[in-house]
Amino acid sequence: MIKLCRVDHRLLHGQVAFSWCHALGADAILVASDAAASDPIRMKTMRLAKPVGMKLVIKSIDDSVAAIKSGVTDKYKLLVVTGSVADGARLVEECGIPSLNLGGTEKTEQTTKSLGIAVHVTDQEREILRGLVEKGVEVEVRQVAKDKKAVLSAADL
Amino acid sequence: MARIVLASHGRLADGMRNTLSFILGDLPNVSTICAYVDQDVSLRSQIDQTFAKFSPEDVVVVVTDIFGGSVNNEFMGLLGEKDFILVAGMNMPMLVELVSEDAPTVEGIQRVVDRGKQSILVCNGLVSGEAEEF
Repeated sequence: MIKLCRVDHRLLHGQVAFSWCHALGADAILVASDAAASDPIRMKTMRLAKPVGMKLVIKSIDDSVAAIKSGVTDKYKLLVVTGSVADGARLVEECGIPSLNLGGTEKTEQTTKSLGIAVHVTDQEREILRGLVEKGVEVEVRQVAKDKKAVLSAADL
Repeated sequence: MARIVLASHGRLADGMRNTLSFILGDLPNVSTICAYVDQDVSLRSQIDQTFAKFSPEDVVVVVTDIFGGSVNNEFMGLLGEKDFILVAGMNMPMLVELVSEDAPTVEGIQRVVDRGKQSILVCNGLVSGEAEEF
């Protein structure tokens, strides 16, 4: 089952690996990212830094959706990490995941709203997230597992 | 509850705690002792003040900066007097694991220390594992 589906532009890094895996009791991590799945150096670094005893699978978004839908991930307590709001929304919608965690997105010239200190979204992303909220998906902001879950309403976006 | 005390010569302990909470969030059960920062305060009084905040049921783990240093020596001398687990040689990977231990025991802390040691690595030429599948 999917314990958490997280948007974090840094994908798998210490904070995610240690804080979230322990808090969720996860035994596998799926990094769902077209960029990471085509970058051998990035994949190598993530494989080296993953927590001991944790399964780490890195796939493109298409392959990630296919894997989750096929049922091969069902037996794992899975943490899904993806790099962008658009990718996160696609995973949530296509795989029927009830909740999306916003953990970190970079502040850029295009971002127009901050949803907490580490989460910055563009107008287009705000629209995507509003769409999710209207469909009944829980959209929540938390950097680390111990933070209080801040669930967003359409008005917050 | 588990209580963790980070103790160092100078401000390393505060710095470690700062980075730990960056990674793991709020850490109400982690205290720090920065020894010899204030010339007028003795290490022993800092230790007594810290332990005075704990209750008898608390399991206390003290992590010092370096084995053989005066901070660790001071705690070594207290091992017969107070009930706590003492670890020398703090490093970040070990502390991340340690803070995640709910009910520390000497055996459990030994495992945490062993994993911490494994995370000290020369990174040049490291070979990563094979790609995994579900």
